Amino acid sequence: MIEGLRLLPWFHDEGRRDPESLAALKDCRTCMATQTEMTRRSMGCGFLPPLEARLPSWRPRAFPDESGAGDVCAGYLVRLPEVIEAARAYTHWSNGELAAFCGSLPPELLVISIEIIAGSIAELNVATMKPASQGGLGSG
Amino acid sequence: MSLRPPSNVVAYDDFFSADPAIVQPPKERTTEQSLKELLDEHARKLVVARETGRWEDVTVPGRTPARFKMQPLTGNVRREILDAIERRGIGSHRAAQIAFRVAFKGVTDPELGDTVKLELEDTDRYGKIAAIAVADFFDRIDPQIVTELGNEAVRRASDLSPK
Repeated sequence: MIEGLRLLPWFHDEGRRDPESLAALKDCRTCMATQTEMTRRSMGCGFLPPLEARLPSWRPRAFPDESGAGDVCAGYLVRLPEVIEAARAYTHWSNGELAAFCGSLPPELLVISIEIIAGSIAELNVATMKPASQGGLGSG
Repeated sequence: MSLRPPSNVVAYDDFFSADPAIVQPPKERTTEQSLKELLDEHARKLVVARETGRWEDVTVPGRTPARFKMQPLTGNVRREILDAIERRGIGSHRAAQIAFRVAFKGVTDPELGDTVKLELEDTDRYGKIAAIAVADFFDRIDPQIVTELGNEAVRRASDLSPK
């Protein structure tokens, strides 16, 4: 879930910049219906057993992936229900309305999830300001 | 009726892995895979079903598993349970039973129908939780129900998964 939370802002930013690059990752059901199991395993599909030897899964440009993991498909990770829930909560949190979203005191894990998303958005903003020639996403 | 997805905020649905409507672990190896590989794959599918809220890959075709409605444990309740293990010396099975009683909010199962009444009991440490009679009811079906679902409730409340 942590990797899904970190990827979420980058995934949507990449989808805005280059929609075609994410065509295969945008919808698990379509992917299952159109790709072979071997292709999905090579993409790191979370529903299938991992392949022992394969290339790292797709990651957004300039994504600070210190762990170098990239084991699981980004499309699978950002669509985990608790990641989506945290993204919804983030919207309410950013308007000071988290308590209204939760209906009570926000659970600790939700608050941590929101903090991870907020941190990842900050990282994305830094990358956006940095020119591509220096490993960022900005122009120049 | 659609499943309640995994959540850190509101009630979610969970299943008991030995439910007859859930695919059971293999007992023999195949020509291609060892028994350990098959068991690992079975365990992985259960994890995926629980993290995605999609039970299709672990459900026996044409069957419907019992859906246990579970409320996420708060950090405070989790600490109370962990402290009870350390300070009051309760065992892991009893701790799982407490977690189950705190989290359990009901069950939907065509076979049980409305036989399970959610009787509540007021407690000092955990507030109003399912009565021991509720846990006893499930123990008469299979004692692992309470243990597995209670442990799962604690695991969910303990940390975010690295994925």
